[in-house]
Amino acid sequence: MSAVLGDAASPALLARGQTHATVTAAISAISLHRRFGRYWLAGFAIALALCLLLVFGTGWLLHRGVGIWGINMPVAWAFAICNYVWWIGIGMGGTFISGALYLARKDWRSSINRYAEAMTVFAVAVSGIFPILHLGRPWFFYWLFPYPDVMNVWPQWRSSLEWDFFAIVAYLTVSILYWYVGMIPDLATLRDRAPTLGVARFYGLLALGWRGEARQWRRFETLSLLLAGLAVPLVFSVHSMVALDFSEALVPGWHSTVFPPFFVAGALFSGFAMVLVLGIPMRRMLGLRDYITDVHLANLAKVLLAAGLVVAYGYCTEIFSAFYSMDRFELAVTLRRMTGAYAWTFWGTILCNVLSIQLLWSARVRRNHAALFVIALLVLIGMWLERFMLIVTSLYQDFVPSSWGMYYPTFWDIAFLAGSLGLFLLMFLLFVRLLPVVSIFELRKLVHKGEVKST
Amino acid sequence: MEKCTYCIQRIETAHIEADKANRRIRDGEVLTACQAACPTQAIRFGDIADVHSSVAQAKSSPRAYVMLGELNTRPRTSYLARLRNPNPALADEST
Ligand code: SF4
Repeated sequence: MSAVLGDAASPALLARGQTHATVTAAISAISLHRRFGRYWLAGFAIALALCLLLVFGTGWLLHRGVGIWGINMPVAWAFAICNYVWWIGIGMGGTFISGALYLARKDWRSSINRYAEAMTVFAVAVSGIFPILHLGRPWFFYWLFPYPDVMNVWPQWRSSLEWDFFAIVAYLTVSILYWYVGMIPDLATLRDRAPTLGVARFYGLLALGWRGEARQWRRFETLSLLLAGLAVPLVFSVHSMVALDFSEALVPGWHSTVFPPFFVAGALFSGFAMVLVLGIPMRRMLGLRDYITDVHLANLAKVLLAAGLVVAYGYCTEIFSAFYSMDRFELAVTLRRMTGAYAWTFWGTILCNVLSIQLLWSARVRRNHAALFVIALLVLIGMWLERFMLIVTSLYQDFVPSSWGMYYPTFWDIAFLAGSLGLFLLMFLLFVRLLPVVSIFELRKLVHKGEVKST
Repeated sequence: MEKCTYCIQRIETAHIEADKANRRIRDGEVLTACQAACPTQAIRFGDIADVHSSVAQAKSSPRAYVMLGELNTRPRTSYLARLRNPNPALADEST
């Protein structure tokens, strides 16, 4: 890597001096030749340990039931559902970068879309675990499928939970397809540059016989366009369905029509935060500064700010509509969120999601990677707290005072959250190790376009 | 099962009999277990869609109220408010 670093003074999507050859060599070397040192191993060990905790927890859950979590009446939804909504929201970042920015023909997505898409696939996969484990009898989860069984049990089509299941399955399928299809030309590059026959076979199998013919490229472009067109609406449907799981219920604090757009904005917000949280250390450790430049990070920060403002607007709307309706239950929930037993989650959310991002108005902060990393991390924490706040404060004191009750997490609640982080990290570390983390062919396109100096 | 099933097994038994005779279930044909066991006959069960049933009659009483009915959840169980005399001047007459 002899390229000149793209510094703040020369904003560029690609460092100067990059050619087809340097781009290809640098990225493929990460998968083929790079020795992954202590940090990777340490991260892998931690992730593996957390995964084991998740596996063990799942076994215990199957044996003992969901009672190992702190859930009970009236708070029957808590950590597991927070984790689910949080993870699936994180997934949105990748699809938005790869799908919506692709359709909008924004060049700055080129070097971040691959790992963002991988993040989407892993986050959606992790999120899917929770609703299934949350079923009282998870081994019957396939009853959600409308298959012709002898019991004549048919899913309840009026329930948004059923549609949610379909939304997730469709979203996961399209995300995997989009991610994989987009990777095929790069897998072929890795196959062609593989140092040993075994490695060549591995990537060769994955590359599905890609030869880089013009005909193949044309089909590839068509398919990418179609998948992007499919993925973008799916993002909206999946997050709206997640929101409807809540707003379909009559519980004050949930029963609100603003939820679907509010959840979409929240998902975009946490998704971009995760893209930053993963990207900043990754570009540093893998030496990707030439490809993931200051411009990329600054653009991500701008989107983060914009999405955060929409989320903040959502909070205001919630509070406004409670007072505007003068519905005593809505009002009570709104006030209790701010002053009740879980008020710290509300104020924590405001601090992380509304106040912290205001720093991003400053261009200096947007160029400061440590600050970006911290803000994005705060946003991720804030989004989790927001889900907890929305779910638990609506449930713990509902219409009937005789059924009020508190929720306290148990060891297993926290173990599942940590385990899900471990599983995500494990998959991401394997991805970084084995697959091309930056889209090589799109970078070559960028080089070709000669658009080295644009935003 | 912890939730009240409205004694579905008893309803079904009556339902099958009624189906065989090609008629509706008659009022009073289904007796829930709690209804049968209640010495003061405080529980009534029947078809609220049939206006002549004893349960529909009771439900139309001004004393009838439901839990969280204002949320439009259309609860199946209604209660009859207890009659109280809040006027101490009439205390003698009421006893
Ligand atoms: S006995 Fe009464 S309370 Fe119990 S299931 Fe039957 S109807 Fe419900």
